[in-house]
Amino acid sequence: MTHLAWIVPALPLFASLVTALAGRRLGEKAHLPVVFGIGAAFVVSLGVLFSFDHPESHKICDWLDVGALKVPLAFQVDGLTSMMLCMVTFIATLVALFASGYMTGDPGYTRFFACVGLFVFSMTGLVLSNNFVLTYGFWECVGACSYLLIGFWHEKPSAAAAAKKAFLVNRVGDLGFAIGLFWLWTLVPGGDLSYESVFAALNNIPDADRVGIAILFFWAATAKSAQIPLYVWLPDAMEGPTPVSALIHAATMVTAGVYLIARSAPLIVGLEAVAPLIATIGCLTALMAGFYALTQNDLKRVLAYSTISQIGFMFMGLGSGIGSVAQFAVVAGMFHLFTHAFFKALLFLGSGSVMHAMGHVIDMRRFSGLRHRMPITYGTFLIGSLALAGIFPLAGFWSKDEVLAALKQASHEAEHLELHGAATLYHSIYWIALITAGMTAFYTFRALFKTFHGPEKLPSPHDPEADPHDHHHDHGDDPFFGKESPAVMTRPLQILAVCAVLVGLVFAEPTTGWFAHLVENSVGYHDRLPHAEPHGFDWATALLGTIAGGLGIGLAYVMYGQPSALPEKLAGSLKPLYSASLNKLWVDEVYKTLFVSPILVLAQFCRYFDIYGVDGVVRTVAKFPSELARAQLQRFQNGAVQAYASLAALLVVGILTLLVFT
Amino acid sequence: MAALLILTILLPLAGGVALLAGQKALDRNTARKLALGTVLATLFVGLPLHLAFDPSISGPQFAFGKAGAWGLPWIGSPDIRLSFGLDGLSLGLFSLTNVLMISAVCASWESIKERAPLHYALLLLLHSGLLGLFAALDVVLFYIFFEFTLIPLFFLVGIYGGPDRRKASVTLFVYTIVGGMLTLMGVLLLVALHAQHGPGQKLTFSIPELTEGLRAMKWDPWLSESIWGWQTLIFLLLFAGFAIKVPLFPFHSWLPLAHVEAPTAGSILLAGVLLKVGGYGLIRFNLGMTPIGAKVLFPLLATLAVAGAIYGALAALAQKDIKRLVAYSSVSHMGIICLGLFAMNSTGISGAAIQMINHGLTTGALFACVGVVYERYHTRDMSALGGLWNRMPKLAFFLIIASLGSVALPGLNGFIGEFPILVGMYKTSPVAGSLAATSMVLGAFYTFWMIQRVIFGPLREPGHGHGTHLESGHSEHHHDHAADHSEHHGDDHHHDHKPVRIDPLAWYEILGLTPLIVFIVLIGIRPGYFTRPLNEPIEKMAGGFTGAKVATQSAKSTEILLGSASASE
Repeated sequence: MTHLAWIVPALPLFASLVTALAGRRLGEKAHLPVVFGIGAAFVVSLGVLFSFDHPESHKICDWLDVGALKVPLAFQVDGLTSMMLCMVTFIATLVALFASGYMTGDPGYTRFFACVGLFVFSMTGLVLSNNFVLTYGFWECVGACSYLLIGFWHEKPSAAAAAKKAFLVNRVGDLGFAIGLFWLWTLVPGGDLSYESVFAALNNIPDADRVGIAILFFWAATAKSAQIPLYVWLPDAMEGPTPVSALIHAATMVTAGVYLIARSAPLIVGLEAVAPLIATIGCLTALMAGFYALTQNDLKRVLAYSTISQIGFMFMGLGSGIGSVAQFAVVAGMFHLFTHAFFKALLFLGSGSVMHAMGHVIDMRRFSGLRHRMPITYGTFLIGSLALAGIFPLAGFWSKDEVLAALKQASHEAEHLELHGAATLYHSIYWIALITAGMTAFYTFRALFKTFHGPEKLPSPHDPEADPHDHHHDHGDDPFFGKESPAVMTRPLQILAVCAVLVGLVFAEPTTGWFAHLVENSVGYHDRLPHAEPHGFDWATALLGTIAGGLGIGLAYVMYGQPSALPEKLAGSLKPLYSASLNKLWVDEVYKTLFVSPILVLAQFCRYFDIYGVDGVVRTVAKFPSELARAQLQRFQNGAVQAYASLAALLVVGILTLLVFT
Repeated sequence: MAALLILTILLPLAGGVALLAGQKALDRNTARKLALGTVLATLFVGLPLHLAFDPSISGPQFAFGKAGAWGLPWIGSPDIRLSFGLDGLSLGLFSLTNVLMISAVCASWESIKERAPLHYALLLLLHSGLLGLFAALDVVLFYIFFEFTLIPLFFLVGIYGGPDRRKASVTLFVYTIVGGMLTLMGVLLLVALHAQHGPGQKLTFSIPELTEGLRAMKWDPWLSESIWGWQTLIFLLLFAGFAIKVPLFPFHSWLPLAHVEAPTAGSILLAGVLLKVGGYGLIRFNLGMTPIGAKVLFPLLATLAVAGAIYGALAALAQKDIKRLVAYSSVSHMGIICLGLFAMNSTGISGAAIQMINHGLTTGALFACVGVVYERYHTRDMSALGGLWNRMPKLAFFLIIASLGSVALPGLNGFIGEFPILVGMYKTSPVAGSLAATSMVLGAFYTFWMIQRVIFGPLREPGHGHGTHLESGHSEHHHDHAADHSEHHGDDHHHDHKPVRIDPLAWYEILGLTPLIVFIVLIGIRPGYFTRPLNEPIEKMAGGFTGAKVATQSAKSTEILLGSASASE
């Protein structure tokens, strides 16, 4: 079965092509090929998951064969791959199903599903690839698909800008990945960049080179996975249709960076500088994004920042891989990725359901008290929020707990290795992570209370908050306005809700340990990742994490459970902090001033320099011969060509004569 | 097969001469049909060459005669021969010309209204000239074609160009004359040196023989790695013509002007094929015949290539005119191509060779798309345009695929060249490789900004000031119907009762773009077929750098910059 794993990306690709070619004929059924294609890919993924027992790779054919650079189209089947394949295809199937309801009536219905198929193809290809170059290839394809989907409503200037921004910021990250690959290529014998051969050659690669390459790869990961400093594209990516956000945030895009670092763990392990760096960036990002999420008024933006924050947790997990914690750290990070996918997809689709009912309004100031009108959305959103807040026994509890446990172990391990600086660092990160967990619970439930609790209110165009340009979303004849979404949208919510309850319990280390067993069975892990004896369940961390979550929910209830003046008052008294959070620390503005504007100024300079500088010099230099030529040409009535031809011929004959007869 | 090659070269010549002769008698419709028929026939006649090509041979194929005396005698003494043949390097460019010619003819279909027969005659003469250029195995023959291609191009720009066409064509002309003269001097010096010091002291004009002979030449001044050495000197002479043709920074300033003024067909061929003549010359002559000169000058060459790649991208970023933007993007991409050549290892050179074809396809497609827009709105100013996606969804499709190919998205053609180029260059010089890689970001920046301005956003069309072209007499009132048009999807604008009618893409526009898009995708997913013919000749050429190194002690400075790169390839 494992040698058939290539079918997993092939199905969505094929479905996408069918949709693109037959879209017009399919009409309202244009989603069917993609829904079934991805669904079938999920079934095949399950088959792969159950049939493999050790990492293996299969070659399909050659791809690149340019000079000494040879890259086959070959795929890897191991624990990481099969886990990612199942997760991606499962979530994508539900998202596509949901979208078939959500996108009904959109003029770009066909295009939407064709792009979703391509997106899933790229992501499954990325996790299946067995070498770094092919991974890079799909990595960029994922970026391009997200470009097409974020800019899906191409008439909206904000969507067009967001799409370009996403692509560009990701390109900045890709640059790091590419240079890392160039570097690695010079070091690996034969230039074979398959995971197996790279990991086998690691003993001969100096540490300094490994550090450089690891940092470049991590740089790439900060773009795809929206971490400091390259996270700025993700909040804007909300401009795409909501199912796309669900895909990007849960399954197909932001997980790629985390996956890359997990995949490269054998390369990174044992470098004392890199793991703490990853953990620190993860920690700062988690804290910062949590801080932003506290004050956002747009439901999807709250969720977007929560994604950034949660990926920060994943990197904290991966970054705690020092010494013997290495393997546990990777498992913890990936497990959080796994559980997060389910409840984040659930929350995003839930917000999509709200948007669908609110005539595409997503500003939480314009609606409230929706729990009676939308009971299924409310119930499932509540489950998702509890999971995100890390409440026992939902999915988020287990994975967040593992990340925290990994951090704690890393601090002990650093102590043990006499790396006191690192020990203090991990210790601080542990506490900051706990605080962030409390913030997560707070902002999640703030959003929940503002949306579903309080007095019932629906958006109307006469609303003072209403966007004056918002004519497009008139809901006069929308049959779903203010109502629960149709079954094709609520069923996926319910399925995801069940998962958000169960996936932690079923797969976690303290219960069955299935997830860890699976992921440990990946290329290079057995040989290179030190593996400590499992520690017992860390009750103290579990308790602390639960308390933090409970406090956050409690505070949110006090402030937003029923209408009160408390939030206003608090915002007033903490004015600078509030506005810093609301304006996201002005990072977008700072980046614009520091990076974008200088480049544009430089570009303008080049533009004029080219006209007056380069061309000016050239013209001055050329003046003499060109004057001469002009004077010469006037002698020939028919202009330049004959003159030139005879001149050239004369010259040739002259030199030839010299050559031959001397 | 040899006869077929000659036939392929002669076919467009025959068509061109026929059109030229019948200039007065033919009307526009007959002329363009004849031209399209000729270029399609040439493409199909040329196809068997691809099927019969044997990638395991490094020398020329499909040539009359045999090694040592390719072709037919032409001028008896000195032995200048009429010899044509293709090797892996030229095969791709040869076929690229055949493909792009279709786009060029299609792009002229409606846009050329005056003196159409002459226009198509010039296109076909250019076609024949380019095919002959790539197939020429004799330096004199090569040089004749090299200069001959300039003549039709000069008239294409000078007669059918924009308002400033006179200046553009003269600049183009003068630049190329000056460069071409120096190149000719270099070539003749090579012939002379080979005749005096080469193996057997044979006077030959055959390119394969010269390459072999000069490689094997054991004359000390020739092998000198001094900056004043023979190879360095000749490298610079040859370089003059080719660097201008490429164009390499800072010899590029004729290009934006020529592109802006040239008709669409001229731009497609100029960017698509004529710039490649420079790259082809650099590979054939500079790298093939004076490898030591290349190595000595490496710091200068790498600097120019990197500077061109970044400078071109920055200049493109600041443009408001789409055509100028695409022209500067060519400067940037050609900088990357030169970088691959100057990497002087098989990965970089092969990458550059395939990237020449890729750039021809993507830039050809971009210029064709610009032509489509210009045909309808008679403006290339991006601030006057916007939201054309709903107007012309097919244009959006073509433009997006061509742009993604141009920014080297894996799975499309650009990646197949750009990635190996950077890999190769990084191996030779990590600093140059990394710096050049930043053009990946800048390239995406100007390309996607252009897309954002032209096809994204609410519909914006130029006012009715230049309305003569806007469909027969409806052009007086142009309301802003952006809002209601946004509901309007698909390209069924035939039934559109808007005051201004913008036609959807016509069959000839689709015919011109489709082959390019097909190859953009095909090269991206199955690159092996396209890169395999390159391996043998380039392996051999890269061996020249290793050989040159073994033969003598390398100069210290080059040693440091090149590292151990070329030896380990």
